[in-house]
Amino acid sequence: MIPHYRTRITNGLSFVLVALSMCLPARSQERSVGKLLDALWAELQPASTSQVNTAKLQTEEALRSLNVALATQALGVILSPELQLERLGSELGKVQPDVPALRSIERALRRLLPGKLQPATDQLRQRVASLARLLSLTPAGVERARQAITTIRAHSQNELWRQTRDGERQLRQAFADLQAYHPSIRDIEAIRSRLSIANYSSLIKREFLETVAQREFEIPVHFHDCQDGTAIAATGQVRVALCLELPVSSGESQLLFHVTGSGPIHVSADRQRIHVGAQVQPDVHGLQRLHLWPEKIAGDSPAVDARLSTRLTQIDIDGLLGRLKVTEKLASRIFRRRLDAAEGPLADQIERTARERVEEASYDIAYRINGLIKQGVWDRIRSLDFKPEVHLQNDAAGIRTATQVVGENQLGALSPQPTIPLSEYHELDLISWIHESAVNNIFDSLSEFRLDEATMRGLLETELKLTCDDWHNRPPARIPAVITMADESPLQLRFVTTGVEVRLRAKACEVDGRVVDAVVREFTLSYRLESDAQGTLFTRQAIAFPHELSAAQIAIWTETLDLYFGQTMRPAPKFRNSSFPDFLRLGYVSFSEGWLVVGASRGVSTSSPLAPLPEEIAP
Amino acid sequence: MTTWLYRSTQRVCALLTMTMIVLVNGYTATAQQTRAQQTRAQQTHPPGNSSLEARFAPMELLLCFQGKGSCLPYDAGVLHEAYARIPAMQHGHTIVAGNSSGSIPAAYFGCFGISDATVRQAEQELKYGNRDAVRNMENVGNKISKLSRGQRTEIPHTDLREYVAFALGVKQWQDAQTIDEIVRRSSAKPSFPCLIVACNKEVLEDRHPESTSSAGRLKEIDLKNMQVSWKPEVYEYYRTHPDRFAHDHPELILGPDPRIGRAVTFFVDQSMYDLLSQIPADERTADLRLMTDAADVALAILSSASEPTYFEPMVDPHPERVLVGERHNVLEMVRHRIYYGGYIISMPAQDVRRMLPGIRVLGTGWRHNPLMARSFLKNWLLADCEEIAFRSEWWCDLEVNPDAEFESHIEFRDLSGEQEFEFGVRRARELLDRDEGLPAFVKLPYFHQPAAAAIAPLTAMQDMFTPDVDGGDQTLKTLRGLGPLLQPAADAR
Repeated sequence: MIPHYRTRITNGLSFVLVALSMCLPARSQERSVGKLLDALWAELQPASTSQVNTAKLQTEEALRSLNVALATQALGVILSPELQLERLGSELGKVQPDVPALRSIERALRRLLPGKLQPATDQLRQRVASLARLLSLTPAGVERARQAITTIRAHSQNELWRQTRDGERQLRQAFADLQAYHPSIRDIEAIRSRLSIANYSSLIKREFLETVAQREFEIPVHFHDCQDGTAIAATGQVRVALCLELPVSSGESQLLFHVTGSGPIHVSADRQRIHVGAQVQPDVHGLQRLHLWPEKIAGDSPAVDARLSTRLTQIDIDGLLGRLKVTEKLASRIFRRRLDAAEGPLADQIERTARERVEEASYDIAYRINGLIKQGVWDRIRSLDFKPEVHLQNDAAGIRTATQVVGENQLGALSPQPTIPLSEYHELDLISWIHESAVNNIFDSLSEFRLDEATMRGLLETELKLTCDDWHNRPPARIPAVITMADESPLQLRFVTTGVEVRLRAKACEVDGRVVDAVVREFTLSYRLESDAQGTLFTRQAIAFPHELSAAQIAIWTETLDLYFGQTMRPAPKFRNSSFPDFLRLGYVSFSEGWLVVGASRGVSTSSPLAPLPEEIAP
Repeated sequence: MTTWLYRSTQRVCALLTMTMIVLVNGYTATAQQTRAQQTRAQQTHPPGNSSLEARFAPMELLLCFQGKGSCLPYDAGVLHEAYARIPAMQHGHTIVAGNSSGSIPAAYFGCFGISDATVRQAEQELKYGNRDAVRNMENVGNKISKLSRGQRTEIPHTDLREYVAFALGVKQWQDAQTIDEIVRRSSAKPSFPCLIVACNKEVLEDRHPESTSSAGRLKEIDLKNMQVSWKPEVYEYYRTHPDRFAHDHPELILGPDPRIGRAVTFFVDQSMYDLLSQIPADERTADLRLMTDAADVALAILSSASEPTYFEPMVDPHPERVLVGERHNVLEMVRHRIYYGGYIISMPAQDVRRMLPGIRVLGTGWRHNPLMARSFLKNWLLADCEEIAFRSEWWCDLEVNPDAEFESHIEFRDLSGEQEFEFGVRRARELLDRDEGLPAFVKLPYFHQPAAAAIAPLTAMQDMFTPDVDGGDQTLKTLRGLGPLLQPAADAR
């Protein structure tokens, strides 16, 4: 009885402890956000004239520096108007610069510029943003910031944002307002890190990487030496194998390549009438450690050690003396010494060549792995003038990336990433968790972007490997349609449990080379994730048109939207020769609470759809 | 006295030396000018129009071998089917053109003409030629890995020895270590109408000096005639900063106006040179580079095949043979003429069709660049290939574009030469049977009417022009299918 009673108590205590531990982070986070908001509230007061003047002086100085840098290159004459530097100069000349103008200039300065111009541009952008914030801190601005704090507090407590459809939008807007009005950037970033988590993560599994990274190559050995008049020649091949280990690491991904090698080398030693044959068995061991970040890969030269063991296999001595055992023994002893002396230079040669080949192979593998991270996401995001924060780490499962795709006034994912059913998780080699905010934050920068139909199709078919049968049945040789995005919130995705909703705000539409509509319109297209005999597909359920459109306009827009977002979108079929090795295919797709989870696994099916990155890493 | 005599002798010697130098320099310069003038005079005053008419009025077809990386066997399959179905090819009424790897068959037929024997020979060579080196280099994974590491991806031109030898009719090429050696063994001459495309690197290059993947953004291209110019504000900057210009662009000369030059050169035989030089310089889409011997043909192939990341660019050893315009010499604008592949124009038909409105245009099929490659090329070499392709492919009447299945295989390069050949035959048969095969997207080019000096076809054509709706210029009709040029497949006959 007593033990049983004790067990019940222990179990009960454990339950309470577990329940407490589950609640504690939420409560502490809540407090922490609350405290931060309290501090921000307390700091809020209208900016003084001296604060504004100091910020103006600092901005003028930053502008001067950038102008000097731009004057030294021809590109400067292109960039100067694009970055609105003259406009900034005239705003700074005013007693009270115009805040909307400064904000517009700050947006223009959000540019990725190659080379030395970037630091000066970033510096100026920060100064302009800071000046705009201080100028906004009027009594009315303070009130607006306080409203933003109140909204954030209300939504962060009890996760109010979850309870209404508009709640998440309100919370994001309040954060943007707070960022626009409050001078304490560091505290606002702290708020962001409490409110939201990384909105794009990926996992490349350990077993997959270890298979991909298995490499074997042969090092040819051609060696000639002369020891005390004895000509020694060695030929053969050392077979070297690379094996990847992923030590647990955070802040970067470490790749540890273990090197082993062996292989027969035939050696001959000749002196006058004596010929000796030997077999050298090299035992090669080594290690190469590489550090992988999204933007670079670094590492020292590999350490490779080759140990040789030599066994005499043949002694031929011309003439009568050669038939005597004593002569043979003597020759054997002498030549053994000569061969031992040659082992050092021979091992050096093997080590040198092995080091070169190991370095080449390991970097090649590392760049291929990095390609999955960099080419898959990083470069594409950067090409839109976005600077996401990427964190890499190795854990027991493999290499993980966590990326916060946010601008200064944007939040990441508000909800935790969903789990994958264990049975399916085990089958997958690559998994990506994409929150809708990662996509939408980037799409915000597509204001006024002219997206032509051909580019959109290229994006879907070649980059995302999605196609629509209807596109290929349309009349050929058409002038591509063009949609011009609206200035604000041009394109937004919403990941719901059943699929995805696309909200497009367009301000113009061209069909057959003619403008057919030039008013800002908003459309919502709903897609349901389904599957049929051929695999996964997205089926369009509806298009919500603006109510003011006439029937004729609806027909035009339906026709145009069909060209961009097909009625049914499915992964493009892939065809392979039977001799082609395994490749990656789409293994899992799921939508849940703002998240899209995509998994790929190695497969041999020729009819199954593929993930978009099979080429780089086909084992 | 001795000193005076010595000094006087020295002065006289120095004077004589200087005079000699001046004279020799003057003579050399005059001789060079005379030679260049003679060359230009020969090139820019072609035989009378009647001789051109006699040569080109019977022409019925422009056959474009459109490069698709290492997919020459596919083109061989298309050639096989097209030759059997188009009598104009059998009767010598065909002009050949090529870009990138398509320059190889174009050069071959330009030298040896189209006949049963040459078509058979071409099919064999293109189907079974060793393309391993190019295929390995094309591997996207390897390429990205190398580019990320700042390593070169280019392979040596000598890897094309087998194909250059084929184009130049050299049977014994295996022991030739260089392309020059193969050229020395060739007696081939461009004798049939032929056009090969290459882009002009020094004109187009607009890469940011501090980044391999960012655009320099200093130049602009006029898609009307492929003229590349400095942006006006950049031109003004360089006019006031000549030292900066010399530092930034050692290959270029800052001219009296913002124009830099044309983006493209067409390598042409004498007959095509005579034909296309009839188009006013401001309307022509390319500079013309005359090919007169095997060395020129080899240069054309290497220039067209040397796509960025495939091979190193080619420097023209005889830039004086380039026709820019009657009043311009190429060396007034650039210090060297450097070619960087024929990728830029997918269908080099505009100038030919404008001069010969009666011909039809057949392409062996184009593969459009993925978005990443398109963006990379645009950042590096200014031109957006897709925008050019829309306007180039407007000129085609039938284009044997690969189907989705072949595209999928090509992505993985998992087909043998024979298999690719069969794909080409099958696709060409399918499209020729239907007499339709067009690109998905096109745009109307600026110059879409016949040139002023156009040569009328021998027989009247029904569908040469689009119906004149607005009463404006006569717009040439394109995208028509091959119509009267086609005969049914052998099994259907």
